[in-house]
Amino acid sequence: MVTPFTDRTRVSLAALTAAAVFVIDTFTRLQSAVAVLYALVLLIADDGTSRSHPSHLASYWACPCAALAVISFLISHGGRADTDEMLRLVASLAAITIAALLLARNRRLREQVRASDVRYETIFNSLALAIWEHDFTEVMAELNALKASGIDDLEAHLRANPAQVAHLCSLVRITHANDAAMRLLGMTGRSAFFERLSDFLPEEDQSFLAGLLALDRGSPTFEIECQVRTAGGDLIPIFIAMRLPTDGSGYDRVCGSVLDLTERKRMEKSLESARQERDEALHRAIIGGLSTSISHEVSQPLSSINAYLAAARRWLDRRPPDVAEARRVIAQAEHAGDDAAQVIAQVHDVVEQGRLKRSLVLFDPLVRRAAETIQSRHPAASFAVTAEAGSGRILGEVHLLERLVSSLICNVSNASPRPHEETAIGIATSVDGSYLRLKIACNSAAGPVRTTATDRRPAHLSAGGLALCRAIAQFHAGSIRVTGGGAGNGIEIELELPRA
Amino acid sequence: MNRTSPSPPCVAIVDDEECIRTALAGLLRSIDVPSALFESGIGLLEQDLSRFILVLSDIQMPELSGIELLERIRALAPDLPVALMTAYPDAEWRQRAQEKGAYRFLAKPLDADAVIAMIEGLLGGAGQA
Repeated sequence: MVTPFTDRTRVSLAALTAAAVFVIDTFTRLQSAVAVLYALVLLIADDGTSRSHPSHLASYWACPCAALAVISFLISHGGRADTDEMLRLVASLAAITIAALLLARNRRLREQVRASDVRYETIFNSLALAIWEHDFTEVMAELNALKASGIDDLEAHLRANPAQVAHLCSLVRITHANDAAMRLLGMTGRSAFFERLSDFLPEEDQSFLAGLLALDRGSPTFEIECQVRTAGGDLIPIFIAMRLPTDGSGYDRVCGSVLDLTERKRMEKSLESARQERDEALHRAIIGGLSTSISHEVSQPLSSINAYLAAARRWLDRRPPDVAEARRVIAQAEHAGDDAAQVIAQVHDVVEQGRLKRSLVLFDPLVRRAAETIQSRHPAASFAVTAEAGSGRILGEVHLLERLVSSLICNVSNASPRPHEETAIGIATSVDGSYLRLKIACNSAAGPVRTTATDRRPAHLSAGGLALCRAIAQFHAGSIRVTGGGAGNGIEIELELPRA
Repeated sequence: MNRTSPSPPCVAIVDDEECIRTALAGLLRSIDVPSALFESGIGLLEQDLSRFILVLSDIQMPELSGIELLERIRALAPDLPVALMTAYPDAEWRQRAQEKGAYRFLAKPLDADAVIAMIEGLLGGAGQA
């Protein structure tokens, strides 16, 4: 029991009470255990605190009170006390003793509570995690009132009434905050901490509405990323986690554990920036690497053009000029020019696709997708896909590889001497040691290309179409081999790529 | 160049790109020089090398590169000149070609006049022999 008096007043009152009890007990004829009233003296003397000064201890007063009771008994009765009078003395002494013991026990309990409070405060304030305590009592009262007024869809109502959400936010009191919370929000002293949640939650905040809905649903926890405003006015990103009451009570002490995300956000930004730089560098590296292969492929038709035009000039320089031959080689030069243009157009398409980056690409699904895409454009054509590369993967640029496989299939299909509706294209993947192979055949290959001393332009294959294919294959450290192509026969293309 | 051929001098053109083979063949036909076209060096090595006055070969080819073809021809027919052509005319390839004894090192896109001049020079030397 904590008395409202000062120490001096309390001690004086206790002493006066003891004196009064002594006088009544000694000089009156009351047939009662008046000495029991000495227990009052102990109660008055005990100030209900844990201070250990003797004047605060009930036991300090118990002994004098017991002595006064005995003295009073001796004065009143001397050696002629009867049994009843003896029993009244014993009862009085017992009351004094019991009161002293009870008060001593209370003191011990208060000491334990005090030590527990000190320990709690120490832990609370030594945590590196910021914690503050919310009082949602008024908020819950208003939410219940809203639902009682007939609002079924609380979420829709609150979303349509942002002013009400702001009002509810202003009802949330902050009742306690630890040192870490003070530091997080730039506070200098506990008494200066924000009183209301609305004092440091930005107006544009959307997280409070989510919290209201969690309270309404009776969710046991609520976690969210949001921003809060420091005492200096800066916005800082935080992550807050709360355990919410689920039994309808405890809304006055809802603790929120708060993590400062400033450093994490900064690192995420740096990481994203580094990732963009890496992607950009990789993109440039891929384009650079590809450009070497592409320049090789473009130089082939250009060499052809040079040779054809030089030949045309020589045919025209003859006396008489061989115009027919000159026309023929000029026409072939035009075809070579078309091939070069085709390569350049395809390169342009590749570069236009945007970011290029390497990744592990599963070979079989890639081939199947390409075959299905081409099949959809040529429904009458027949594609027989035998995928035996299993989990074989290539480290490469997936868009380039898709273009490569699609172009090779198209080249074989276009090289067929038969129309599409009569063409059967066999597509087979396989694993050969550290390589993945793709064979695309149209009918059956007629064997190696026949060597010829003619300069007639071959009819089947588009040099421009295969040029970029070779460039992409080379870029991926692979190669392309073309066989067949004799009159009336289809061709077979074999692509070899290193396995990742 | 002291070399005689029993039949009209023929140039072997070795390149895995068909457009190059046919274009060079057309160029040589314009100066009345026959040519034999090969997709790979392996096909050429199966032939009688004595009927050729020049081998004009690409360097970057699958199976047998131009450099490797040069080495084999030097072993089989040391007097047969081998001119190498490449779309990657960097110093490393040039040095390797020179070390292996290439007759010429030509960069693509080819200078057609330079090719003609090289062949006419060989033919002139063969005629003088």
